[in-house]
Amino acid sequence: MNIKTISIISILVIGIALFGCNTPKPSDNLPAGDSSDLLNEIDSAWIDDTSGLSNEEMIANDTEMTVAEVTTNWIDANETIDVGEMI
Amino acid sequence: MRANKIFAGIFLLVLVAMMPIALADDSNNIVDANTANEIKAMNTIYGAEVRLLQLEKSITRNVLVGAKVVEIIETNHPETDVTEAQNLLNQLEVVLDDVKNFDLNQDKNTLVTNFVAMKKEATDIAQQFREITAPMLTEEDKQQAKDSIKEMDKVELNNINQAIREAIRSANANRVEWLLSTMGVSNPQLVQSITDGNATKEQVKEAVKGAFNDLNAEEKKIAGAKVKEQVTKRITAEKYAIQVARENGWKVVLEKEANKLQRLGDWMHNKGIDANANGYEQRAKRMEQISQKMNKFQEQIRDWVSPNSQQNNNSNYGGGNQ
Repeated sequence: MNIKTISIISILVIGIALFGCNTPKPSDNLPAGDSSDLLNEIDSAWIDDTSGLSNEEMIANDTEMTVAEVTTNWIDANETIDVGEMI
Repeated sequence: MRANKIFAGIFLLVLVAMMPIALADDSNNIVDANTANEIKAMNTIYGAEVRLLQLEKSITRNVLVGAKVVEIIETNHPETDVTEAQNLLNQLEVVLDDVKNFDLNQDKNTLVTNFVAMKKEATDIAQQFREITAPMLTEEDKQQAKDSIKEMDKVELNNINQAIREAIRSANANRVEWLLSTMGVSNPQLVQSITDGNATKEQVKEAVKGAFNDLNAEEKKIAGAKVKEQVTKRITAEKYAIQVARENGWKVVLEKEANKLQRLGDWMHNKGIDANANGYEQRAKRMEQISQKMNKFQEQIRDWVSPNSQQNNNSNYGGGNQ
């Protein structure tokens, strides 16, 4: 293998490492706006397909994400809507 | 003289130019962090019902507290004029009627926008009431009112508390049922126990975790992908509803203000006719002038909100709520 071939392979490896592994997250497709909390929520729920997780780790993440959906959607009995006090 | 006219012209131009900025600020503030969080549950009709009931409870409480405050002022300080406070209380009752008669079958984004507008209206009225009555109340008056509120919370709001409790259970059961079906799982006993109020959030989380773990490897892969897809859809829908509410919520509030002005203008016009019939020509003329100004102003508000829609003076929140 000559130096030229090694250089090309190195550039390809670095290129894939930098750009190839980043699949777009759903939040990348959302319109811009003041929504950082929601974007964070999407990003935290999103698991990159090429993040190098093992099958077990992927399943564990999916389980965690599914259980997290219960928490996210759950309405607590003591929740109230605040419209301000009259006094 | 000429300089004054130019100055006045420039001032007006600046004022007109600033109007959209002022309105844009309002539209940004109409959905604060708490409201955004409340909106998330309104993705389903069950969640929307919960939020409407919670809003109804808060406004009902404020109406009761407000009435008590006015009563205390009238009793302890009979020389004080409570007309303005009473007017605000009447306005709050109108908002309460709107909430009670709210149509839950509207398009989801319209529903969220109207919820946000009603909450904003109720919050503004509470703030105005507080500011107007604060100088009228002594510390003893405030304590007297607070003691009454404690009793009200126990007795008067009991029915609505019960309705909220049941609506929350139904909403939670519905969401868990949806999640399980997304995973390709069915667990009617779990759903029923949530509906009956016999399952805590932690117990449900454990049950869902167990259901996921019981799937085989291939089923887990499919369930994970489906849940991921649904989570993305849910979050995108929530974000869109919030954006629509931010853009349109203030328009609903302004339309309501225009309706109030129109009603006042019509009332003043009729009073003017009465005054004229009774021989008070000057008074009738003044009333007619005020009435015309009010109508002109409400037309301007409608023009800002939605150009070419001056004929649309329906005060409903998206229809069917009054």
